[in-house]
Amino acid sequence: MNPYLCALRPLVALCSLFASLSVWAVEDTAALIKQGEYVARAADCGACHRTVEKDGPALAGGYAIDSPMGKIIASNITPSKTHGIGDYTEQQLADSLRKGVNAKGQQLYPAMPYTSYQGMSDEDIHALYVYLQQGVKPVDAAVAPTRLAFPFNIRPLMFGWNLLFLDNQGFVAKKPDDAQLTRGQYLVDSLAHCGACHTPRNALMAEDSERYLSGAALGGWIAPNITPDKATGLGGWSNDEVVAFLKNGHVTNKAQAAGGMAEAVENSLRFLTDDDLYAMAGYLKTVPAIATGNHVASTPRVVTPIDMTTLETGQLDQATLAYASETDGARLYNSACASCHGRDGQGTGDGFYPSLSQNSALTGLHPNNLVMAIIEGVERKGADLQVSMPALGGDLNDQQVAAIANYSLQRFGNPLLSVDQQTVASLRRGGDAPLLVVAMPYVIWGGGGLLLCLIAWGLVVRSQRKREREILAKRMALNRRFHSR
Amino acid sequence: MISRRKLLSSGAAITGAGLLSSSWAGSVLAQGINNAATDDVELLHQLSLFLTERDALDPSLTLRVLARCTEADPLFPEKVRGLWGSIRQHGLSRVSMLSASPVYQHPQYKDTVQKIVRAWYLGYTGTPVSMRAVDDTRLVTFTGALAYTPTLDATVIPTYSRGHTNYWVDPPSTVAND
Amino acid sequence: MSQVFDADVIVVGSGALGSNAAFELAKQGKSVIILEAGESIPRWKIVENFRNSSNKSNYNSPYPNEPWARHSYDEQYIENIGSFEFRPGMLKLVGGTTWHWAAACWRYLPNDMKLNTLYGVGRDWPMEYSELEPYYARAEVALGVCGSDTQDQSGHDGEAFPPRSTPYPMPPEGDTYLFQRLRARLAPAGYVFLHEPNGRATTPYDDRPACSGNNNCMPVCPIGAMYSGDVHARHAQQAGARLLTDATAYKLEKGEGGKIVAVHYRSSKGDNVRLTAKYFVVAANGLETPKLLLISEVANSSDQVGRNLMDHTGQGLQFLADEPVWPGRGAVQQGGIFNRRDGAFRKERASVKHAFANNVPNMAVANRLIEQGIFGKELDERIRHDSARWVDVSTVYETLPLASNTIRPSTTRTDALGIPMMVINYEVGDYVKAAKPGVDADYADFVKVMGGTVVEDNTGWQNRDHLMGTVIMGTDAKDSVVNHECRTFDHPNLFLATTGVIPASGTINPTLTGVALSIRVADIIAREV
Repeated sequence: MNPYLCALRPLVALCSLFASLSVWAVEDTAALIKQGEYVARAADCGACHRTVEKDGPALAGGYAIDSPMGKIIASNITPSKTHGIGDYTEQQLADSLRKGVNAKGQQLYPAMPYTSYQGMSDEDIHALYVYLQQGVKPVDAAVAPTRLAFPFNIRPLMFGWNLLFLDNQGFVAKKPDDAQLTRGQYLVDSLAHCGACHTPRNALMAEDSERYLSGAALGGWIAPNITPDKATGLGGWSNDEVVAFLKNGHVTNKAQAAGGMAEAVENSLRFLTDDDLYAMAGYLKTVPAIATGNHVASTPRVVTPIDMTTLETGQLDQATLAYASETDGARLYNSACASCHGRDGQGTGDGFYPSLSQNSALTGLHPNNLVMAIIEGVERKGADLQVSMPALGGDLNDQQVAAIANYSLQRFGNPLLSVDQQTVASLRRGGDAPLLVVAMPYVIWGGGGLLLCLIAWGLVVRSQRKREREILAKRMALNRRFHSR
Repeated sequence: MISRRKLLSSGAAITGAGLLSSSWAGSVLAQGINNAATDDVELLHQLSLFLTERDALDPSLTLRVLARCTEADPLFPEKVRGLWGSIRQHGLSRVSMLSASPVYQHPQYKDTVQKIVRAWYLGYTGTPVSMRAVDDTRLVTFTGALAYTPTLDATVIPTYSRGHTNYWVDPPSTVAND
Repeated sequence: MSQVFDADVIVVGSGALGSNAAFELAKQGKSVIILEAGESIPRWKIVENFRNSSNKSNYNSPYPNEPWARHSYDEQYIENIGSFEFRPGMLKLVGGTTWHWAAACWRYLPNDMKLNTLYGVGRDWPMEYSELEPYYARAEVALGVCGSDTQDQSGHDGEAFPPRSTPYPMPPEGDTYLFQRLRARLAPAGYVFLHEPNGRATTPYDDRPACSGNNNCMPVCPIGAMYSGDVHARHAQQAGARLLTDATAYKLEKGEGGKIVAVHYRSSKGDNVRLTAKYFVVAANGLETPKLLLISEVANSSDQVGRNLMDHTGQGLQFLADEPVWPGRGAVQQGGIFNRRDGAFRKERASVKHAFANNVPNMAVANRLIEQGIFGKELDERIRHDSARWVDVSTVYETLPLASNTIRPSTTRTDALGIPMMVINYEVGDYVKAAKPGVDADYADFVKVMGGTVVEDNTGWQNRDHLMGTVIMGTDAKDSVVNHECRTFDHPNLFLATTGVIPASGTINPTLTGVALSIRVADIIAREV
């Protein structure tokens, strides 16, 4: 570089600082707030920093995120000076987002997905800061403190984990020349933190970059493979379909968002612009395709309708009218499911009630999402409509859920799949905390933290044993020496 | 060939143990019907096809109609034979000729016609009594009741869905010609 | 006080009213026990029972009729000694009879509650509409009511009325084609159409999906879009209330100071259990509640328990319109005609509401055609033709409380638990009869305007299952059973959460009012207990 220019650099920098300051002075705060709100939507801050009540004030926190280590209480990130982040500088917000360190210098738990947010741009953090300080109503209400059991209550432990797993080089575009692709990568990786759910974890429970976005199990549900693999990923999906799914939470005769994805659609993705959604869809097409199993052909099955005369046999005695422990899958399906999905499992002609034979929950490689949808139901507000499938977990025991799932898989879905009562019980337990999904990064961290502790303990033990062995060896050597005398 | 006694016991199977092994009645006995040209079941089946003016009816339901009606009236099979004979005797080639024919003037035949057609269309036998816990009605079929068939494209079989919330603000697409 | 109670409050009955009271109390930290005579049955099972019923027009048929928990259509349940066969369709299971209702959620008009003052007939409510209004608002939230915030529900085509402090929790469902066509032709003839506020979700609400028109509100909503009492039986339990099923209360035990000290219940296994509490709420419907009071010999110093029995005595009309109006799409009812809801005419005759049923009519249509001797392809064609044109009007009349219309425990019949069944004496009053010519004239007009062919226009008086008056509410302990709080005059810790307290029936379905009163009961008890 020209040394003259080099010498000028500080001056240029200073000038541009003044210039930008003056711009800031007149910058359109309203527009910034709007932009920041959009960033907050895309980053889905509200998913965790919500109140316990469904309709409480925005971002006031208090919501308890279940984790194996205990309940992590989402903080109040309204601009309250007393209980929120009203005193934060922009740098302090940036450190929280990118480094997982709050204004008090405490390590945050990675329920806060700072390993993803570390790639956030300065512009977005600035907009987010302005929005959080000026666009959100301050709520002067404390949230309960997070009380985790030892050793997880030792926040500095996170320092070690961060050393290992916090990639703090910021956002690195894979193809910097392609603006749309870069935008998509930024949204998928940094803001929307898709990998938090869709990327499997390695042995130390950090996202496994080798298996980037190839699907993972969490809280009973499966976050599917969203790499472009033809058979087991999104290879068969057009960009229009991916966008429609992100926006509406469903694509007729293909898939519906439920569980954590329904929340992501409802709270975040449906608010994104079409440009951004297409950028995400486009980027997802370019990530390495990873096959995660031998998928059965995706051609729709020919469904033979069940002979209803075998089910419509008339009432028996009065006691049977209250007997609700039957376990025949066909009978249970027709009583509990067919009112909406039809006797033939084809849903309604308008797709309002989805087909079960052209439905990723039944035709995929795992029965988990089918089982979880039966137990927990589906609640979702998409851009086009709001849907609700009642949770039947309270009205059906594990054996009955398994019976319905197996009947549905055999008759409508992937007949190679089946599920037993024990699996249903275990998925049901995983689903006990329906919002575990949002806590997934934390869950993972918990596992990692535990592992680290174990490793540390192991190392200590090993070094102790090593010392013991050394001492023993020395003794033996000494003995030999003595005996050889 | 299926004897009436066997049929009655099978009727019990449909209504009782049928809950557990209900497919049995449909398959084994339906097969039986094909081999039983002169049997009551086949007769009722042919008569039902005539009365409903259809090419096919679910044979397992024929069996059920016969079982339920015979349970209520042991003479029902005889009445069916008499009715069928009378219809042939009067050379009724189509059911549209029935109600104006002498056959239908015969109270017993009229009653038998009514019972059979009701069973197929309404999906039950017997006479409903309102505001009572017990009556002599017996289920034949719910979703298979023929009365629902003519409007399946416009309304619903109750308890089943047709479409999204508020689909009903528009009339059926056929409304101009209905 | 060192006395230990089994609960702060015991609620007898787990229907919509009892469960809402129990939920409000449990939510406020009170210990609550709910007694339910029947069992808990999941929705899918009831749907299965319905589909297997051979008498689908019998709305009780999907529900168990156990010897120890009879439903009201049981042959032994009610003995009628009057000229009218009074036989409402009441259920015994967790959630109660709102398992099969059509979820109409009307509010009374201010005038309905001042019937005697304004029109010189019947009785006044011991409170004004404004006193009940906040509880209506809460009841609408509890039940998830959809409705129009702009219509004049008095039927006078004026401004939004009665006054509301809050908007309806959900917007109304879209008008069915049937409703649109009837209104398009009848409104110009002067008939005022109102949407019926109802407890069906029009968007997902309180874990209920939105109604998609499965057309089976009665006898069971297959998807749970329509509110039923099991919702709050569940909420109450989640809030900490204990629900005991197969527990039929048969005695309220009096103690010192006029207080009720215990309730006794019996199970099908023959156990007799005595439970104590500080307060008692009887929410066992408008027939079982007075029966329990009478067999317990409590709360009856006025001699009014079990008297003043009212229903909205009904009448019906079916005709075939001259155009396809296509009933059967959407929920089973949506609204009706309200010209005769309120006015000076109430000095002489009952107010009246006409509602239009929207059931899939195929069974009634086919039954009629088969009877006419129509068979084969012609039958199929006619079923479609007539089903598309079927109009079913269901009319209700306001009734007055007559002390001679009674429900009494039977002295000759008991259930399997040895608890007396009922004897009812019911006569349709002159006030109702005086309004019939007007209804008949309306009917003739409906048929004429719609170019109709009458199927049935002389149904006789019908049950409408709206039980009122039997534990009547008033200001005077001498002529009423409970005061404006629904607290019995005789026992300061005994409250009645039932539409049986309603002293002036109006023409509207009373469940929402019952729930509003029940929530109020819970608030009052929570302050005292």
